[in-house]
Amino acid sequence: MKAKYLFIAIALVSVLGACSREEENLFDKSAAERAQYAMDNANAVLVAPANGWEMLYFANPASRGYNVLVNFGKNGRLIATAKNGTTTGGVLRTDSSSTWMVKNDYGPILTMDTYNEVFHAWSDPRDDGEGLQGDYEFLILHADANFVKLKGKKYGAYYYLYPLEAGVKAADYYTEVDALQTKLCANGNLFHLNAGGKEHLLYDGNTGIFTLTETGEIPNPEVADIYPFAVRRNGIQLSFPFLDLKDVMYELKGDVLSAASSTLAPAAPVTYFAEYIELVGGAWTYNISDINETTKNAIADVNAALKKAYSSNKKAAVKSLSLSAGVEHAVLTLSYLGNSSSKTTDMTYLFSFKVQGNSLQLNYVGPSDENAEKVLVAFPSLLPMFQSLCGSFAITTESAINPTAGVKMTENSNSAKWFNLTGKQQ
Amino acid sequence: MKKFYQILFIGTLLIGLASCEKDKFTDSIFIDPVEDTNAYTYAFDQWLYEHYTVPYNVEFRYRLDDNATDPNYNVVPVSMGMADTIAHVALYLWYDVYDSVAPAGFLNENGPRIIQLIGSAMINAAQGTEKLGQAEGGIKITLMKINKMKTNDIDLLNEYIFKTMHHEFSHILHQKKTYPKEFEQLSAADYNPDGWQYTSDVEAWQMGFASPYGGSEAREDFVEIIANYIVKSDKDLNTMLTVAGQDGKEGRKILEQKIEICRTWLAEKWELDLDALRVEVQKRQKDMDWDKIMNLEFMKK
Repeated sequence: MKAKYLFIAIALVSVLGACSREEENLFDKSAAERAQYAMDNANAVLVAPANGWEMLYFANPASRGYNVLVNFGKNGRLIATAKNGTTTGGVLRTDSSSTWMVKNDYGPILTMDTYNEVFHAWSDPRDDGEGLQGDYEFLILHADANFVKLKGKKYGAYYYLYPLEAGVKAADYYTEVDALQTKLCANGNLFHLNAGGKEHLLYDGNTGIFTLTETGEIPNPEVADIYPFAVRRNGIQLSFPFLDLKDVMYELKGDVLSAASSTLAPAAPVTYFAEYIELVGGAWTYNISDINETTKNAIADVNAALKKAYSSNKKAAVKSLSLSAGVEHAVLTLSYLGNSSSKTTDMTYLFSFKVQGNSLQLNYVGPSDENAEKVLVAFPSLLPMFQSLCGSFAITTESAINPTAGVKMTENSNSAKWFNLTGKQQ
Repeated sequence: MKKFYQILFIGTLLIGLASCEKDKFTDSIFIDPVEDTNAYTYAFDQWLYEHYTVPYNVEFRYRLDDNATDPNYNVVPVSMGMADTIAHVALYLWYDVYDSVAPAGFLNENGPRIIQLIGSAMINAAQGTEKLGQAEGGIKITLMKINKMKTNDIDLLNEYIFKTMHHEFSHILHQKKTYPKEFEQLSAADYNPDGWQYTSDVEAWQMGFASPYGGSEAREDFVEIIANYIVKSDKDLNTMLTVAGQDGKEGRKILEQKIEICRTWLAEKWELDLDALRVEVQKRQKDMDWDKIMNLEFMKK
């Protein structure tokens, strides 16, 4: 009887065992066929655009983005064009030639496998063995005629490629990018991220890296939540989305950078004015040659006093007035030429500074130190000049997308009292 | 009844075995490599095939596959221009030298099967070291820092390329036939795998090493002796030996003993004349003419 069960058991194991290696086909093609298809598809996509691709290259997940124009030749030749301070010394480099291929390695991999002067400087280990940690082998995550998404094989940054329209010349491309870069990012512009009613503050600092904080908070560099980006001709490309969003491309539409589920835009002018000096550490500089009559006359009085005191220097005069953040108060920096005809002397005076609704309250407090007080005593005409800067102001901007380009402060109760200011990162 | 179960058992076993036969493999879906005459690299690849693969059974790799490098290091590929230069100079100062001096077919039989070029060195900043080459398993030699070469700087070429070629090839040779145990005994107490980089040339020579790196371990010592003996000019070799013996140091004596061991080992195990190799390399180093090298005129003699 035991033998009977033994025979049945062995027979069952034989039959079932024979079947056990047959796997159900989850896909209509084998893994090898699918891998080959992915490689063929990637190859076909990459060589298709006659004018090549606009590539947004992030040397590593914490690196700013760079614009590179790449042409993947059908013959395996890669021609790269770039203009940046890191790999081309800031000049347009159009002739950098090397090789590329798509190979299979746990999926299709794009490799730039001989040295290209435009690309591989980001990957060079330099003296520290690390360099900028730029990848030159990329996992191809997505490839179609509209865009290609890559991931650095070693350091994991995400890269995007878009077909470059026929007829666009490299020089014109970089001129447009530079212009938008200036428009959006000059002077350390800062944006608010608006996503479904939640608002966060972003800092640029001209670094090509956004730092995200809760609105009003100053970022801690040691634990900064950073988001590298590159400026394209039509907006801003992130390497990876903010927070749990999915947007990576923000197109400039009017005065807003728009994506599917979120937007980037500066705060309202008065708020922006305050954020710029309090959070970014920027300064607003008064245009003293184009200023309201009261202040103009006050400055003229100060200049007359300076010329009298420093009679040997015909250039003695107020050179600039700029407002920045201090510990408790805003700080007005007075730069003037006294003894020297070329080197300015700076004195600082404190102003109270408050945002109230759509208005900015600015009031003179006093000198910030003994030296400033001595100068004030020596030149009493400074006081009326400082007082002429005070009041409750409305603010308008020349460029809503980057108010640092120019704002106009106009006193709410007296439209004849106005100031033009520009922002500058310190 | 027992017979019934036996028949049942054999029957099901046969069915089971028969079902195993159904695993059929279709032809590979990968396309065989096609010789694409339009390929950007076709001319160079063809040149490499004709000058390395056919005569020496070696694949000269200049395109970099990240999988073939140590992931702990960041490296970059070699430029095509430098790959072309090194491919020519390796023929001039390595392959053609052995063709002139070694037994017929020596490199074809004993040379590496793969030569890989890498544009940068493997840099270990923490230890203050950089790797310029490596030999693996007796079949592959990797030459590094190629992009930094300047063809008009013979000292740089000697240090980074020529010496590395002979250094790594000597590794290949001793990986196939081990070097004498007596060699290891000569400096056994002085090897310093973790601190060799803090040793100066003079200190190394006076300890009996051809270079600081030679003081890292015996096998590196062995190949550094051979490589330095081959590529160092008469003047530099004499300087090394003279300085090694100054101040009552034993370095010269040890170096000469090591050179003799290498000389004997190469002669007995490989039928190679170390001094003939050195003479030929020195002659070629002195007569370097890049136009002639790039036109392979040295092979047309």
